[in-house]
Parts: sequence; structure tokens; C-alpha cells
Amino acid sequence: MANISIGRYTPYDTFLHRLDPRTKLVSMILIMVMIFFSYGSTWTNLIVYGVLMVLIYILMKVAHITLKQLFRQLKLIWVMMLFLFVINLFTVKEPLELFGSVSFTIPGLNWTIYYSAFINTFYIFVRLALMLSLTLILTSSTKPMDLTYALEWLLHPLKWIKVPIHVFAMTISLALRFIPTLLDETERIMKAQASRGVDFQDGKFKEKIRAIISLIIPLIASSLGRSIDLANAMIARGYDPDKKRTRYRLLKFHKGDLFSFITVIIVFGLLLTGMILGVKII
Amino acid sequence: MARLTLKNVSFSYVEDEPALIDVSFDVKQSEYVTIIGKNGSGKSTIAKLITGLLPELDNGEILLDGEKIKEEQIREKIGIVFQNPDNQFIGSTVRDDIAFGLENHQVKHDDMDKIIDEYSELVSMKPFLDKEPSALSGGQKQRVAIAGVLAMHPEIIILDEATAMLDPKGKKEIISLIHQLKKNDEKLSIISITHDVEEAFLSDHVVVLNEGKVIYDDTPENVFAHHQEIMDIGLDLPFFQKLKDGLIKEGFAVENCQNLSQLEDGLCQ
Ligand SMILES: Nc1ncnc2c1ncn2[C@@H]1O[C@H](COP(=O)(O)OP(=O)(O)OP(=O)(O)O)[C@@H](O)[C@H]1O
Ligand SMILES: [Mg+2]
Repeated sequence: MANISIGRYTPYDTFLHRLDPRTKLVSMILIMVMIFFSYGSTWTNLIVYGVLMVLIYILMKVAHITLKQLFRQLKLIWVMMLFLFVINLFTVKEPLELFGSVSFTIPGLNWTIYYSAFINTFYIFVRLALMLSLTLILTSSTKPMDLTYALEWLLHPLKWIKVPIHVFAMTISLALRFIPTLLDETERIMKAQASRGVDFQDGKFKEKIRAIISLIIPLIASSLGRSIDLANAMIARGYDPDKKRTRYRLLKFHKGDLFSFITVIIVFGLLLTGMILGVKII
Repeated sequence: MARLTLKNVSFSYVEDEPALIDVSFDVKQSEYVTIIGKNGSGKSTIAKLITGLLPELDNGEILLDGEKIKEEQIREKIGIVFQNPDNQFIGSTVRDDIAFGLENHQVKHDDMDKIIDEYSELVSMKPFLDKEPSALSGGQKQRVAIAGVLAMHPEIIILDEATAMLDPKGKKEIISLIHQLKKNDEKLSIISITHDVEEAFLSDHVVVLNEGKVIYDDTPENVFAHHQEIMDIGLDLPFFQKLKDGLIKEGFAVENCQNLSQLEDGLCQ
């Protein structure tokens, strides 16, 4: 069960770890938007992505994330990209200029390939890779609970239209709290079923399904029992979703947050203006 | 004077299958009451009724200081610790778990750290304040649960088999903690639901439940004097009682001894 540690919080004490989760969440969203902007020209796009890539790489270094971790996350995406590339080769025929022309022909095959096929695939790949890196930075530098608080803060305006955000936030934090407990339980049930002869490793598809069912049913049953206990414990300790509660964890906005936030806003503003005006670097 | 009174309480989860039948007993101020009875005899049902976790009673009433108990009073004055250490750990860390009840009771943020420190110290969990539940033993989690309940200043604490899932060491720690709590707060009443007859033997007052009915409601000495009846409903006798019985059988005149030290004196005469 240890292999789900990818993207988990790592308890370092870095500048990024110390930032207010709200700063990190909002900045991440802004940077993601920047990644999905399309700028004045192909080269401008590539340059902007290049710069963002370098910046995000620096952030990864700061947060003690290795490229290896990132590549492990990208593993699934390679296949998808290859597939997409092949499709793009045949379908994409946008007149995107790269080296003074929009396409080239493979001699002998008489097959015209547009540069846009490469460029579009590359864009998608870069965007996904950057997004993954950002998520990795956020989740490994922020405790899940802090992230929940930040999310609750971000969605706070929805309270005006009577969406019970605090209930969602409580639900998420309980789910996070119970993940390790349920993983333990899963392991226990798997061992118990294995000792009764259930094979979780190999076997035909049908046997595998049967094995999984023998795991899932007891897991659901025990989770229901737990949830009743949990609800009782919460009520007994005075929890009432409709009542006002005070807060133990207060989020604090420090100087570092102000600095980071302003930097992100400035870069965002510049890129937004550049995009709207269609500025071309090359 | 009785603080908490159950008066002719009957309750059924399913129609015509009563879980409790005409249950009555008192809990006095600063009393340590144990409720014993075999599985399914209705012990947890009593705990849940007192803490307002079940719908209306079929019959009878639950009184606090002579008046019918109200929901706000329950939340303010009665705390409960359940059996499963995992399922009542709500916060992501020890700190957050103790804070959970305080948040619900709208304690001011600036007062919280002091309270958390105080009660974690009391249950010897202060060095673990920033630990997550997965890094704690069952006994430690139960101590956190007790701290969380105590931090809300209840006047009555119910422990529903709070030691049942712990190893002997964890069990001992919790029981000695209970005795310490009683010393710290003279007014605190404790209701402990247990399968541990030794614990019951050391309490002030034992309620024995069988198939939803109270069959004994008395001091431990008087309750455990009914050896045969206690054994018949599937309960064990405390070590002291067994020893005394054995000695009487062997012809020693120890009938009037009420505890181990009297027994010692009785034998040495
Ligand atoms: N939620 C429920 N729905 C229906 N019946 C229930 C429910 N909870 C308990 N019962 C029944 O009520 C009776 C008393 O249960 P209770 O949990 O109070 O027993 P207990 O003395 O606490 O037992 P244990 O020692 O196993 O904890 C049992 O017959 C049980 O089957
Ligand atoms: Mg019970």
C-alpha cells in the first residue's frame, strides 16, 4: 500500500511549504490558466512555455521534488500522447508556420505532413506535464487538510446562494482522515480472504472479479458501520452542521504570501495583456 | 442526590422486540457506576439513550437533577467515549481532534491552545499533539478521546466499553486514568459500561443488565454475592469473589470480608 505515496505531502520546511495554502491554490489556478492561453505566434507560445517550464522546474527544486517523481506521473501520459500524435499526423492540417512553411512531404510516400501535427501534440503534452508538475508541487508542499481549508475559503462565496460549503469541507476532511484507516482495513480483509483461498494476484478475469467482490463487500459493510459510529461520535461532541462553529486552524497570510501572490498576478497580467493584444516575441 | 435518573425506561429499535424493558437506576454526583451484562443485553442502548443519540423512548423518562433532560443540556453536561478508537477520532491530528469539540462549543480561538495543552497533559498525550491517528496505538487514541470529552467540561462521562479493544496494558492505563479523573474533579460522575468484572468490583455501584432488564442495582459486594445468578447470565465473578468462595469451601470463616485486605486479615487471625 506504500506505492500510493506519489503526490503525497512531504514534511519539509521550505518556502513553498510555509506559504498559505490559499496563496498556493490561487496561484496554481492562475498559472494553469496561463498555460492554457494561446499567444501571438507559435514561437511566442514556445518561448512562454519554455519560461514557465524553467520557473516551475525551480519551484519543483524548492519543494524537493525530483524529475524522477514527475516522470513517474507522466508514465501514463506517454501512451496517450503517442496515440494522439498518430491521430494528429493524419487529421491536423492547420496552416501553422514553423520554418517558413506549413508542411513537408515525405518523398516516395507522397504524404504531406503538417508541422501543426507536431506542434499541437507538443502543446498538449507540455500543458499536461506542466499541470502535473504544478499539482505535484501543491500536493507535496501542502497538507491535505490545509488544502481543504483553502478550498473552503475559495468556495466561500457559494454560501451566499446557500451551498453548504462547510459541510463539503467537513466531508472532504473526514474522507482524508479515514483514507489510512480504510487502507489498513483493505489490507486486513485481503489477508483474511487470502487465508480462505481467494487469489488476488493471478487467475482468469472471472476469478479476479470474484476476488475483488470478496474484498469490496466486507469493505463497504465495515465502512457503513464506521460511518454510523463516526456520526454518533460527532453528534455526541456537539457537532451540528447548521450551527456556528469557531475555528482552531486559522490560515495566515504572511509577507512571503504577499510577495508570491503579487509576482504571480504581475506575470499573469503581463501574459494576459500580451495574449489579448496578440504580441509576438518572434 | 441523584444527578441522572432513568425511570422505567423502555426502548425498542424494532417493533415488538424491546432492547430495554422498564430500566430504572440512579447515578449520583461523583459516583463511579459500572454497567455489566452480556453481549446484546442493552448496555450501549442505555448509553445512546442518555446521550440523545436515539429517537424517543417507548416509555419512561431520563431525568437530570430531577428534570426531564434537554438536548442542549446533554451536549453541555454529558460526554461519551465509545469502544472503537478509530471511529471516534475525527481530527487529522491529536491537536485537531481535541479542538473538534471546542469548535462545536464555540470556544474562542485564542483559548483553544491552552485548553488543548491542559487536557493532553492530563491524559499524558502532550508529546503526541501533532501526530496523526495512524501513528498512535489504540490506548493512545482512547486517551485522546477522553481528553476531547474532558475539554468540554462534562459533569457526567460515559465510557461505552472504552477499553474493550485495548491490550491489558492499555486497559490498565485507561482505568487508572478514570480513577485519577475522579480525584481531580470531585463532582464528576462516571458511568462505565464494561465486560471487565474486576473494574466493576472496584466501582461504587454496579448495574447488571440481562436481556434488556436491570436485574441488580447495588454495591459491587452485594451484587457479586449472588454468585450463581451472576454466573447463570453468562458473567464472570471477580477474582476476590472466587477466592472467597474457594476459601469458604475449604472451611475458612471469611464470610464477612468485603475486600482483599480484609480477607488477608481474616486469614491471618
Ligand atoms: N441499530 C439497531 N437496530 C436494531 N437493533 C439493534 C440496533 N442496535 C442494537 N440493536 C439490538 O438491541 C439489543 C441491545 O443492543 P446493545 O448494542 O445495546 O447491546 P450491548 O449490551 O451494548 O452489547 P455489546 O456487549 O455487544 O456491546 C440487541 O439485541 C441488538 O441486536
Ligand atoms: Mg455495546
